[in-house]
Amino acid sequence: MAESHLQIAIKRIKRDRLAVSGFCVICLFAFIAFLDSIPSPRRDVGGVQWTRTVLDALFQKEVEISYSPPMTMTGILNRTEFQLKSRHLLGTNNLGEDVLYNALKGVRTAFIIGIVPSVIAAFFAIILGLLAGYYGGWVDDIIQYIYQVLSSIPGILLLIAMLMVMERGLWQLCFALGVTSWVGLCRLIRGEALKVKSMEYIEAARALGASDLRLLFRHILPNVMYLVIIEITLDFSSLVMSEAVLTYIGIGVEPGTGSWGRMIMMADRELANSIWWNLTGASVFLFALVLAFNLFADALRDALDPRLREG
Amino acid sequence: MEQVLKIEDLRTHFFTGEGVARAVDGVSVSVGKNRTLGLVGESGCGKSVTALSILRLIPSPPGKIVDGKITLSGKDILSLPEVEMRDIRGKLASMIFQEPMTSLNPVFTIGTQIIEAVRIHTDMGKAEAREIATEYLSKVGIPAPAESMSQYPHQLSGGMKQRVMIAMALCLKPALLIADEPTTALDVTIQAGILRLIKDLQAETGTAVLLITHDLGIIAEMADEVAVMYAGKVVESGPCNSIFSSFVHPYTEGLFKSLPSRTERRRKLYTISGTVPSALRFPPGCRFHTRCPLAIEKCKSEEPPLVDVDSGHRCACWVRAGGSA
Repeated sequence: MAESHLQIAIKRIKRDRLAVSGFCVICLFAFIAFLDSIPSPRRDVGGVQWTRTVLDALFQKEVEISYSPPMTMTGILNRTEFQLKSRHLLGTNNLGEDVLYNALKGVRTAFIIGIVPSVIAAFFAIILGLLAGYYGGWVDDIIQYIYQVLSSIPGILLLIAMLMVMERGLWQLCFALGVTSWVGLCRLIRGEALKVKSMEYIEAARALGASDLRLLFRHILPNVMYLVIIEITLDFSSLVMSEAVLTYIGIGVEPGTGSWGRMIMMADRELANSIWWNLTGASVFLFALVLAFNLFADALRDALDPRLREG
Repeated sequence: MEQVLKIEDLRTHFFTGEGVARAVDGVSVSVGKNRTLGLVGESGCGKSVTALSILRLIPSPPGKIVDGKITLSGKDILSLPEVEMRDIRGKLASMIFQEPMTSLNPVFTIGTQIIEAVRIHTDMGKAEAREIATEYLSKVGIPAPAESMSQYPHQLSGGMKQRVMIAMALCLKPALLIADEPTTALDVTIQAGILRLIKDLQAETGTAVLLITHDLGIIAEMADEVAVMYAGKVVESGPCNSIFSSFVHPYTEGLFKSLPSRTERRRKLYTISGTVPSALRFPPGCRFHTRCPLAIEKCKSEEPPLVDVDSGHRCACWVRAGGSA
């Protein structure tokens, strides 16, 4: 019977095995991020309340000897009652922290960095793109002027400046990335809105007495939404990697927040001493998440973009 | 008779970079309750612009209604603020378009779209609006209307889509229905069905219909009155019978002569030579004189007025309708 575009898209994606496996990996990562987001109710031995998440409770290990190689048995306390906790599967880093645990802590950060800036950017891009495309004239001129100015400033420079002003932090970084990255999507939406607004169904809706606001957000927006969804999923991987790069050059998240970028940054001094597990841990996680997302996003774009649609 | 729509001396011009395009330049027509006015003419003669002017849907800029008066059910359309105009669109006057394939929003089910059309103008609840929508879908001959409500436009054929458009246009019983080439994009076999449907619904609701077309066959079948437009002006108007039996204007004559004949099989189709002049550069005098086989000197300099040639039958031509006025 009647199928919505979404149902058809889901059907198409289901046929693509790579996309489905990508989606499974994303779900696994999302589950880890989820575990890292709900606080653990357990009180600490000392009676002091710690802000610990379920993930912390499951994986956190005592600080140990620095640079133990992977699979080392936990040394100082040598607890054996919980197998997962009794070994450092990926060894320890310079501070004696478990590398696997650090890598897992990076998942939540990666998800926040991968999604929140896109959502912020999409918000700006949708509002400005729709207004520019729909009204045209001087509204269009002003909005185009704004994004042309913005896109003529090197992105990294703007990012550094914004983070200097706002202080470092995960959410500040998200905001800065969001504010600096809406231009591309805004252009796309403006163009699409320009096309859609001259379609007959928009004129028909207007002839039925629909107001400008209704036309914009109820009739045009759903027709350009596929662009937003595609853009958000495609941007995810580049944002995750940009976090690693920004942290590496020292303007990313602050210390204390789990971050693959930080792990990679540490590793550049360790590799010479053939301590490879810190780099490997972070890279494998980063690679797996980005690859999974790319596979999924590609299939999603094929399924949603009307220009690539067959029949 | 009570006139639902009365257009007097409408002038809609487009102010483009190349100059002023006088797309509609002094059109006066009217339609009564339960009547159908057929607006005929070639492409580019201002039929659609006239229709869009009634709903004030002329893209502005560059378009602007510079002069004239449009009265719809006693309301002076051109002096209303935009907010009140929105109330009129879809409720007092609604429109069906030429391209049913693109006239429905592809991302919503047809049910959603009809319900929205109802709810924009009434404070009905969803359930109530759904009932009306289903009722009208069955009225326009959609099989299994309740199930079709959850279908998407791409699942319907062109004819079905046009039926849905008609349901949307008529579900609030508007006083005026504007049909802008409603069957041009459809298969010939579907056309008759759609036209019959419009006629039936008109008989039921008493809606006045402004039918825009270039097809004289459709006019003969549907219209009570006819107005023939050429280059932004009405050149001949009158009761349908009168025009079909005794057309006066050489342009109308040309239109009739261009129809394929059923009796003379091998005859080459007649064409009116040349094309409609660009709205940017209408010729002086009678606008048809550049293509008119009867043109005299006077036609090139002076514009002929619309004069009565028969009761209610008016024509603007120096040669055929005399120069008395």
